[in-house]
Amino acid sequence: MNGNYNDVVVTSRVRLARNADGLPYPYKLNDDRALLLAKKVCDAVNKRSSEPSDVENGDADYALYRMESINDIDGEVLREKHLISADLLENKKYGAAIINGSETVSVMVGEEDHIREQCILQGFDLHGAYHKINAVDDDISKAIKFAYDAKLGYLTSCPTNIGTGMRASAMMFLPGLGITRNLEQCVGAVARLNMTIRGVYGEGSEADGYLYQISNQKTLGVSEQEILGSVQASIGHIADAELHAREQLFKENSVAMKDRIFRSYGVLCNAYTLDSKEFMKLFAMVKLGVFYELLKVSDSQRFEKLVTDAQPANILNLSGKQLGEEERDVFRAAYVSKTLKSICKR
Amino acid sequence: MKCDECGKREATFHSIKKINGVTTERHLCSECQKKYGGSLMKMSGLGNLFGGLGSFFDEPRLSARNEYICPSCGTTGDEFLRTGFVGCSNCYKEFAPIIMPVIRRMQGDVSHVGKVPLGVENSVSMEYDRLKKELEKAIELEEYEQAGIIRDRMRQLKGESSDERKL
Repeated sequence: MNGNYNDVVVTSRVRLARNADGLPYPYKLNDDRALLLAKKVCDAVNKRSSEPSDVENGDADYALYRMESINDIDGEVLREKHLISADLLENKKYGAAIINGSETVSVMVGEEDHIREQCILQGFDLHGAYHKINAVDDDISKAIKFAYDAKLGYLTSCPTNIGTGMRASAMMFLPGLGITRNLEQCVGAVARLNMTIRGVYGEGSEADGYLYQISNQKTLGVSEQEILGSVQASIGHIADAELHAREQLFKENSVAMKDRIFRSYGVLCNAYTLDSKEFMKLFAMVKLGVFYELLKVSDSQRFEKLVTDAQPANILNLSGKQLGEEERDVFRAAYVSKTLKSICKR
Repeated sequence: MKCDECGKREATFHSIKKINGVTTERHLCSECQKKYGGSLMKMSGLGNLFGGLGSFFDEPRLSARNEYICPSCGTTGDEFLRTGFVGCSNCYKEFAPIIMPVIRRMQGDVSHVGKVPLGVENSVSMEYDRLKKELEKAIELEEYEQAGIIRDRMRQLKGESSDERKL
């Protein structure tokens, strides 16, 4: 058992909300100026293609997705990867997303605010995510004058985002707190620190896959560095509690836990049909088994990616076919079994 | 389920709020609910903010909220209170009497101290940034008295310009 924060924090994300000065906000914007805005943002982001750091990281290729022309499955695939939001998908008129090659940076145009810039990085790296998105933000600000007020900061569609317009969050894997029923207490403590915690796939302590998102609530009267610091500290508290819970769980229920983990692994390797909810439940136990070193993973990136791969639209996309619900669950079972058998062993 | 506050008694009050995609859960026992119930909204940030705005206003102002209409985008004060969204940047100026109490309740009575767009000058943000660096240095050098003075100045700066609101 190691006990690194990266065993708890799956991804770190920083999102900045921006609006163009002098334009009505998306809910009130229904004319050609919206299309012009989308084009301007795309051009500004595309200029990054020549950024040496991006070229070096293989991130120079930004792809543009127009919500008007994207097909339903492709749109859902991006949503399940957290690269676009459900709100953006609904903005068929001029909604667009510009996403880099490594799928770490995504700029949405026509969401709740004109521009939503976000960076998602694997593991516990909020500062890295901010650094990256801040550079993109500077580039866009050279092409578009942002709505900004000296007292209220960046002006946003909803006052919940005003000021920095920044939401720093982490997706955390919390099976220890979930199984030991200590999550509720954590939610209370986090709320007192002005943070929000919610299930990534479902709500409450039964959130699928024990995946939770922790983010800051306050965006005004705090600097970006202070937000990063406070979210980081909250994540640290939760991660410590989670690691402690995992240790206790294994100490006190070793046989039961081993049985649950190996049974879950057995089902995932042998099931003939598998829906996404059951997958999330069983995969969480297998992931816990990897943490306890009961199972060994040879390709951790592919292993982590299984969570997204197994989501409804992504699995359909991977099948390359138009499948009904039943056929999709059969394909998911086969895909998960094949992947796990090749990269995760007892 | 145990109470979020005392951690001892069974929680009998459960609150799950989902606003603007953000969900907050609170589980309290009856005693803690009595004690902290009033500050629940503060703790959960947005809770009930747009549903129960009546408490922010006295009746005459409440009935007058429809008189607020933004000339730039046509959004009304009532529309803002109902949906939680403004229609454009100008709404912040037009609805200042109704929007500022909402912002104060959500975010506190504070000024922006974060990033300033390239090419824009914001002396408060810049001074805050400078003080923050000084504070970090003072802490590093274990000059805690000096750190305290800097921290007070930073606090003052956050609230200082709140009375000088000119949009």
